Amino acid sequence: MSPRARGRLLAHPADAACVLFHVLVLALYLVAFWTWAHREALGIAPGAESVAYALGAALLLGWCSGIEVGVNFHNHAHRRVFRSALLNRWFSRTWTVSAGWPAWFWQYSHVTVHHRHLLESEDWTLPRRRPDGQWENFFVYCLAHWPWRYAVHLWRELRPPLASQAVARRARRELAIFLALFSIPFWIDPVAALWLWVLPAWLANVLVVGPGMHAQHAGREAPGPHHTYRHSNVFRSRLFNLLMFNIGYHAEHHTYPWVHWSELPELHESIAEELERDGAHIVPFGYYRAGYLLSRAALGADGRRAEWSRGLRPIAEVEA
Amino acid sequence: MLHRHPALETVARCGLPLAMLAVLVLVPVIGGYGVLVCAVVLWKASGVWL
Repeated sequence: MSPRARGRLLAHPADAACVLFHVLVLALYLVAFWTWAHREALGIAPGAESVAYALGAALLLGWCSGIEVGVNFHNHAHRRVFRSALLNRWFSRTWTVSAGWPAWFWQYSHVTVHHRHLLESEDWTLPRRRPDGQWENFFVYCLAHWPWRYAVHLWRELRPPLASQAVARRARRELAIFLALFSIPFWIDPVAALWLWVLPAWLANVLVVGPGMHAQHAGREAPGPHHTYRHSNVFRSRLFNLLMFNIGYHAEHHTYPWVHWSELPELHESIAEELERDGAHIVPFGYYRAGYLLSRAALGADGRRAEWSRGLRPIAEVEA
Repeated sequence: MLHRHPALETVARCGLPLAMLAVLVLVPVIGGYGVLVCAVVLWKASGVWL
């Protein structure tokens, strides 16, 4: 795409990466389904080898779909990618469907609930707190948050009396569009739909979105008058931020959500001293390493369970 | 270096789905078990490098 064409179509030239990522994920699904339909001709034996293919493909698809909703669509939820409102609306709807999310529902959960009530009791997108203030077990959160908890909260908040009639109407419309899109693979091949559509959606939320949400704010404090950046962990791995659209600069993102994702590293450098003075928590790795540490800690595998579940010790110390 | 070449940076940001696409395209060579092994190896590697 030429720079001029990018300028006409996209709100920011760097968003070409978001669009390309989404197109590649759609291609990934098409190739996975096509391969399943022609598996015997491609040399995959029926039985165990077909199951191995389905499991491997589901992991790859779910992984990408988790990034699609939690990172890629996330960028779009804050700052629209296209100049055209129509394109924004319909691109959104295809963006999150593979992760089992109606785009508008995820946007509501993220922007209206998570950003507005960050780490407060109203922020039901994050792990629940026990009576002693500790966060619930990492695995319990990852397994319970989607679709179960989200469904309960969205059912309550997007209908009267909490929501206006107009909001409720929009929620019904978006849900109907989502269900229509989500059902497409079932019309083609129900067995493939379970392996390569439903299972990836579940993996996307359990393996990618859940651990990511947990890691972003583990051990942090709700925003208050005495600090600016202590609500989120900052993940500075360059490779992670290259592949994950700079989502690691999370304290910066929550404090300045209107800043474009491609400008977050620059923002980080410009406020480096302020971050240090404020006691921001900065670690050299990314969410995947954090997720691994969180899972180990939750299992008690290295005796560090208490630190993580209470969120009392910073990630860097756990890493050390 | 990537910062000076926006097109290269755009492709690099899509490195993960490109790698996954490569795995699925290689099915005739690596077979069904190969897809599973590649997926698990990639996931485990992400816990170290990402």
